[in-house]
Amino acid sequence: MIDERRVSPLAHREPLHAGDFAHLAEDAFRGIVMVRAAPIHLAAPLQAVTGRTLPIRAGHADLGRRCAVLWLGPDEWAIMTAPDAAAQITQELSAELTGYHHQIVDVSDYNTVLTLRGSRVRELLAKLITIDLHPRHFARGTGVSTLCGKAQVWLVCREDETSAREPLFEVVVRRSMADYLWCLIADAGREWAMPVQDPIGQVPLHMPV
Amino acid sequence: MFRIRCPYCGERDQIEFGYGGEAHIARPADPDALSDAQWADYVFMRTNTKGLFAERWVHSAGCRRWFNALRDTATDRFVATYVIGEAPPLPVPQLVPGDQAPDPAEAIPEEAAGGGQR
Ligand SMILES: [Zn+2]
Repeated sequence: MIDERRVSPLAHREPLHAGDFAHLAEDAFRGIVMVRAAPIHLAAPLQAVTGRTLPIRAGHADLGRRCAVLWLGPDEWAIMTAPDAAAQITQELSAELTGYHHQIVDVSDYNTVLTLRGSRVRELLAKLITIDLHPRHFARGTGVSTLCGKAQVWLVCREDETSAREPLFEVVVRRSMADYLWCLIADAGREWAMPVQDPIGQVPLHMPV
Repeated sequence: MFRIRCPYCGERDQIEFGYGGEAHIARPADPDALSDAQWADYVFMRTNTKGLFAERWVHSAGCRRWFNALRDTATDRFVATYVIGEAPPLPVPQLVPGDQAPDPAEAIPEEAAGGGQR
């Protein structure tokens, strides 16, 4: 059941634009399901329920129109799906995995998704992330769990320079860190004239040196 | 800044990792049978190796898995990382029997070892 009064973690923010260089927006209420199971038990049920192939290589995601499946660990994945689709996937996958050791949790309300697209987003994110974001290394279908500033995020490359006019990244972050991350990305985008965003509570984005 | 190779994710920056102390310390099978000094030895006492040292790390910002690493404590260089349950890929001094500090329960009278009241 969806509560119509729900408020997304970044409902107080408006999409930000820095020319054609970078666009930041919240993709609110996306469905996110965490799955832990042995890959040998999970592959077939996942295919049946979501139509996706279980990624078994670290740092990979299987992207689809309705669902994306992100590798998070040797026995852990995240399913990212459309708003309000998480509950049904949770239910169907749980039913399919009955009898096998597994854990499936709908964490949609716990997270939110930031979308970042534009010609300079790789350079923007590189200021905040220690992973190599060169298109050769971080192409479409790459997804990792890492740190973005002080926030733990999942970073997924949905489109790259070969599949679209400009790259598109999704950054999944916990609710409590969402505003910090929003302001931090805006700060990193200052170089391309992204508008300054003041963090809630005036919490400083950077520690005094 | 240095980089650590997570056995699951590959090379990542050190800020993604947490340190977990000495590796390969087995929990005593029957804690009730131990003296306080022996229990204190298990809980608190660690080898203080200069050189190759087997230790635990956790990839807390990545896959969140624990793993073991061989690090040279003198040069801070990571020699190898390997998954929990595997034997270290190189011999490490702390795991050689007889090369460890003597059992405090044997070496020191129990009161002096801080055995506590019972
Ligand atoms: Zn890892």
